[in-house]
Amino acid sequence: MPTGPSTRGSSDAPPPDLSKERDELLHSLTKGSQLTKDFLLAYDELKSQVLELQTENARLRATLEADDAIKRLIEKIEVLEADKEKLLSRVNQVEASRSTYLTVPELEAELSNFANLHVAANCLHSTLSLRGVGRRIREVLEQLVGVEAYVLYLCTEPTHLVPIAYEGLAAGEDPERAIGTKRLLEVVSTGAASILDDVDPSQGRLDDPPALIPLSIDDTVVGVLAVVRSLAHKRQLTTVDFELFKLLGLHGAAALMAAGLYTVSGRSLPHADAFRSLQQH
Amino acid sequence: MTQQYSCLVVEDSPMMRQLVVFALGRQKNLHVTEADDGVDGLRKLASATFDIILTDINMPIMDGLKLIQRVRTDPRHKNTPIIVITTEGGKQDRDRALKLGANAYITKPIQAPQVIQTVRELLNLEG
Repeated sequence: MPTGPSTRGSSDAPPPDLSKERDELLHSLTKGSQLTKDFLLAYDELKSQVLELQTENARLRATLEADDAIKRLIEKIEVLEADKEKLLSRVNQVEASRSTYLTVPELEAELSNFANLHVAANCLHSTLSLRGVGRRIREVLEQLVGVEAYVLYLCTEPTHLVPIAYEGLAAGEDPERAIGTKRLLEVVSTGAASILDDVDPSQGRLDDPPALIPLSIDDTVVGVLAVVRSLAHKRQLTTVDFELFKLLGLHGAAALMAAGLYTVSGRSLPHADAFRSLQQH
Repeated sequence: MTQQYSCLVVEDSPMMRQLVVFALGRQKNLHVTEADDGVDGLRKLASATFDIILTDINMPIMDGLKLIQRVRTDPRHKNTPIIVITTEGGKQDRDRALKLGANAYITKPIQAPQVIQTVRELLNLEG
């Protein structure tokens, strides 16, 4: 450090040479300045690094959150996949059971068919008048099956038939003339129904009717019901029609015989004594 | 409490009547009254109010068409829904019935689901 003139002036000792100290001080100051510069540089660098790290941290945080969201989505997808599998398995079960079990509409139709059979049987036995039984047979045929023309034959002898009721026959269709036909005689002799499955029943003829149903009591044929023609809209006989024919064959015969016996007896109901023998069996 | 409905079935054939009554029995809140023919039907309509009427067309004494005419002139029942029961071939009768004021028809041989569905539609009932 430069030294000015001494204020003391009269000092005996020569002024000390401070150039060394000065140089050292200058060196120290220069070094301090350099250190400060280095420090500032390092500080800026560190600051920049901190900023970079903060940015990186934020980015990593965002990635992590996105990864979590993806993880959650994947978990959700897995749950949905499991649900889908369960549903598919259920659908397969239902599909498989469809061939085994009836659907509700099918059950409804079956129930309706049973009702038809039940009501038809009830009605056939609800009268002891021959005319009444005849009318009920006609009703079953017309209203439940959709028959336009039919002939009801009764056996007077094992193979001799007499037409006792008919409806809807066309001009020229004579129920007496049809008695000798082969199919009719076969039904009487075998007791088995003769049904033409592959014909349109609405186009049926008396000489070759679509259905011949034996009327039987205890395996004995007492008559034959010839279903000659169905109504125009009915082009095919269905399962329930065949069931109704069967029912007419059994219940119709019993109802006719009961009504016949009742008429023969002068419309008097049997006395309770007539039923006493029931106890012996 | 479930609302109750009353239905009049006019049909001369006991068998058909039983079948219709059976079908209607599927609707639990429906009370059914039966009539043998048009005259019997009118008698029952005079003594009670019905929410719906089912009638055959071909009946002795008074047929279904006359019954519809009479019902539609009765202030108490002029808006009561009427269902006619016809044969598939009875298109003319069916058309006449609809012209006279019937609301719907069902064809024989009747099927219970068809009967109950038609009644539910006309009474706005849920299945």
